[in-house]
Amino acid sequence: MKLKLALATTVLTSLVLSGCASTNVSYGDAQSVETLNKDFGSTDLQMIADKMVDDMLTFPVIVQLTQNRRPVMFVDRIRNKTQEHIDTESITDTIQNKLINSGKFRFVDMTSANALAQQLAYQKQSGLVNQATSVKAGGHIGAEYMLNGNLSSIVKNVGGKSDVYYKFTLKLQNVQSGIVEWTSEKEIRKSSKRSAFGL
Amino acid sequence: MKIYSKLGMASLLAASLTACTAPNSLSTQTAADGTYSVKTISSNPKLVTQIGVDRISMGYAGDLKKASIAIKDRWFVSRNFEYKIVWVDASGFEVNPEGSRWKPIQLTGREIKTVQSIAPNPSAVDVVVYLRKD
Repeated sequence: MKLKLALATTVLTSLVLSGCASTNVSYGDAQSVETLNKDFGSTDLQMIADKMVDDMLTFPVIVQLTQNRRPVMFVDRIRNKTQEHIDTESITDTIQNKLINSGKFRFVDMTSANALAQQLAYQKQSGLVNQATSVKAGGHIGAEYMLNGNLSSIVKNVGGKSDVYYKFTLKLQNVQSGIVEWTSEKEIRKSSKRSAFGL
Repeated sequence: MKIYSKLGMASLLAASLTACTAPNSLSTQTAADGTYSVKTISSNPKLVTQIGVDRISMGYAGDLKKASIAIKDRWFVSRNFEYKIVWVDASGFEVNPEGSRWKPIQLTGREIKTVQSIAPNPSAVDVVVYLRKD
């Protein structure tokens, strides 16, 4: 009787312990607000991209510019001046995606320029490609406008409180004249407070 | 009889819990002549007493429609809410599904804050605004 009881207790204990150690995986809503900590997160990225695109597409000069044609632009880079490691290319990718899908702008992708050059060289010089089907070199369209910007932050920690202020600035510059045609800023402030006793 | 009573209680509890998290929404319906009507759906009665859309304005930036939505905190205390603006085309289909996000908004007591959104492309004509508690 005692043996059975001990066995049952062991089985129950092992079940409880294995239950504690189990990993639960679930899908979350990628569009929901993320506030896991005060570091730069997905919600910040999305809010920045939305604000930049909305501002640009409603700016009167840009509205006039895109009335009858789709200007070509390229993304230079976003300088990350914060102390965090932030993938700024992800921000510009989202902005580029929205601008292309608005039907107002076209982009040349400088990150794939080397790959395109290699493919052109392969088609022209390898001797493996039927020249009747190869693309003509020198047909790329030059970008008229350039997008670049900065992401900076100010972080303050006092006691258990922490505050971070992000400022994202984006500029649209005319490649030929050098004139900045449009610029916009998005500010984000996030605060966190360390809970007492981890509660 | 007891089972019915328990079931009733469980349903009531489930309904009240749903009501705590369910968002309220407001949608526009644009007519052929360009005028629009606004329809409100309140699935969370408690939230209605806390936050609401004070006014909504629609306009154009070129051929892209833009919406300006004034969100009002109906209480006298500061609160955190979330809103989401979804653009739909003339047939009622969501434009750029999964492209609209919940965004945080902080309102001090009785404050009215205006948020704006521009249509993702010219096919988007109406908006659905969702509001929920943080």
